[in-house]
Amino acid sequence: MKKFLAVCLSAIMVFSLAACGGGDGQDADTTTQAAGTEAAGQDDSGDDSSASGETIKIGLMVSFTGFGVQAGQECQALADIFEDVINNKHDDLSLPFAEDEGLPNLGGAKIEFVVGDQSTADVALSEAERLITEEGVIGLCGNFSSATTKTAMVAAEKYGVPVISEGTSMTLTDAGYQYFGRSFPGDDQFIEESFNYLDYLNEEKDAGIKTVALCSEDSEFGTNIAQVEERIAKEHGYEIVENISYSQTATNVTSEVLRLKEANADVVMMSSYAADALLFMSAFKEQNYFPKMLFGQRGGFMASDFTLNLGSDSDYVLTTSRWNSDMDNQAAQDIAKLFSDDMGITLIGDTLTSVWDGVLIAIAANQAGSTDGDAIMEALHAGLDLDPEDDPFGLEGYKYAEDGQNEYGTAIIIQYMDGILNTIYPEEIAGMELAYPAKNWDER
Amino acid sequence: MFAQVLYEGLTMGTIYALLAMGIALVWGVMNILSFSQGEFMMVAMYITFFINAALGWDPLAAMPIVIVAMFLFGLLIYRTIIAKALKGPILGQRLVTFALGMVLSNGMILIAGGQTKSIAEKIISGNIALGGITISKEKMVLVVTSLVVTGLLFWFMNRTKMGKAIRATSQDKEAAGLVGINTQTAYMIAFGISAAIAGAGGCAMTYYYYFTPSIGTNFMIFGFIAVCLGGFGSIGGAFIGGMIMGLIDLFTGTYLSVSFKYMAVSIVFLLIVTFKPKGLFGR
Repeated sequence: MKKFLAVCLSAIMVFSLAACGGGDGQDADTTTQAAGTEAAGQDDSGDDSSASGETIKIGLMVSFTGFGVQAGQECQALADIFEDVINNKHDDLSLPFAEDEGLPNLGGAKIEFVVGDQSTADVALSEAERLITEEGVIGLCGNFSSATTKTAMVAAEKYGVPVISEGTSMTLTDAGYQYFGRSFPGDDQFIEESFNYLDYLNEEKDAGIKTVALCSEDSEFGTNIAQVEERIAKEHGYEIVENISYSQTATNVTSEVLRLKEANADVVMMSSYAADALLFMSAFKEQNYFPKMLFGQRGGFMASDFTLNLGSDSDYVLTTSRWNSDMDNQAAQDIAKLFSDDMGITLIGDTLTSVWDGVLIAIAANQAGSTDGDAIMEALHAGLDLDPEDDPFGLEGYKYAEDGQNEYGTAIIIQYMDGILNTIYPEEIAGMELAYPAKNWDER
Repeated sequence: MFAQVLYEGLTMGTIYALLAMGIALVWGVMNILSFSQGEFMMVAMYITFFINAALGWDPLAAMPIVIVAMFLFGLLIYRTIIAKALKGPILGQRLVTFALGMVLSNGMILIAGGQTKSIAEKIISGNIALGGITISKEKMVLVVTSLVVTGLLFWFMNRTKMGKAIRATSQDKEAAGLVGINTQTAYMIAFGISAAIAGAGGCAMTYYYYFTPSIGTNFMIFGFIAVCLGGFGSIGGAFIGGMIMGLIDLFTGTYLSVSFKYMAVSIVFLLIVTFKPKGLFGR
């Protein structure tokens, strides 16, 4: 009996580890194509291989472990949806390649997202290398952080494979990468827009905002943001009354919240991941304190976990974003509906951008008529030929500068109200007016 | 402010103590570092969540079931894995719970997904304003649970036959065997109790914390430091170690700098190890 139990437990362990490793060669929808039709002849990465009616692979880097697991699962689900949209005819959808079957300039080649792990920076390097050399991906996208982008770029530069990542650190565009692209703003632009918005509120709405407290987790994500926030706050004439750097793995943030409460700033700007953002919200409520304006910089404040767990407790929180599901364009509505029908949750901007970058690689390859890395980069630098009606983000275009930054990437600002994300800035696309100052917990 | 910080420090201390006592018990009895204690707590949180989702039971109502379930789970793990590892080389003994923790964490991702979970409706919620202090009722559930568990554990270890057998086994396994104590049973019960403590702690923690399968890892580090501070093998020491950690954490973070709070805990730990190598109450 004991031996039987031991064998059963061992089997469960092996099964669970294998399943959670999930990505080894496993595509996003687990329906792998026949090996003979894969990779369009990419047995040596970086070779030109103009696919013709075959399957081309795009690497989708997500987290298999740690706090990014949920975001990774959402990305994989969305990748499945985009695979279907691109590979099959969908006349009713306003999305790229929906009216075709596959990529027309590549002989109708099908798209396949192949998943790799980027839970940590060192894992991202080995997984990027695996996807390029063993899976033959033509480019990499995913739910990258700045740190994991950097290590993945080591492999990408070595093999000449494009990476489009939304890692927001300025060090990525300053690094001189040849195969790097970023479709949406970096930290500097997001934060500049945040302070522009505060200026706008002071000038147009007489908000009287003078003091700012900064609270950032201490990895590269939060540290970079805090540095930029400090500089730009001073440029805009705001006084920083508190500047906290905390560990994202903290199990207790009460001292942080007590300091913020004592500082009593007009605006608390936070950069956090999902778990720590939720822990802060618990501690805010426990201390019966809510800042007049709580302004997140994406990350955890944009995670689906945030609103799913908080419900109306998320009300009044602001965050910068790249996209919101209330955007008034058909492509945005189409993809938001497909995702919510499939997953039962609202599509968030970070998930969409992570997979959309892969679609942009496909568009670039189609435009170049080649899966060669240099040809794809050339198309990205020249500007993508994308019908604005098929773009859920409604950007003016996608033209990547030499440093990899898309010249047309823009930021928006959104606010939670009734547990729903609402666009509040820029004014032209706002679906709701800012609710300010926020009500404290005992006033709600 | 001072009173609030003191209160919060003691509150956090009781939470760290809950975790530390389980680790101290397993180490004290069988010289195994229970790296999976945080994951046991995580499993308990998910069991509480599933009971709440299926039956609508409040975590407090579910607590007895969760404690029993975790105790049985601990016995199963001991019989099938730990008992075998104890016959192997010392490194295997040290690392077996580490591997177990990884399996539990990744296994839970497989079962429940990576999404953050929480229990929305609780029978105890809100704050009490007491003088200048804001007392969170949710956190108070954790404090009371910790104090009750500590009291019960002391009673069990000092007043019951099995508790005395476990203590005797931890002091000298061979001598305990010679006087007729079934040391294997003592080991197994000790491991089960350690898992049951994690069960009570995990269940209570759903009152305050949002959780994912990786939550245990974050708590483990603090649990170990608390055990080291108080002294390996000493349950009372683990409790005191947890309280010291909570107070240092809150006072340093609030009055000095948030960035220094873990460094301050580590400095105190280094000082204690330097002057009392076995911890404050270690044997």
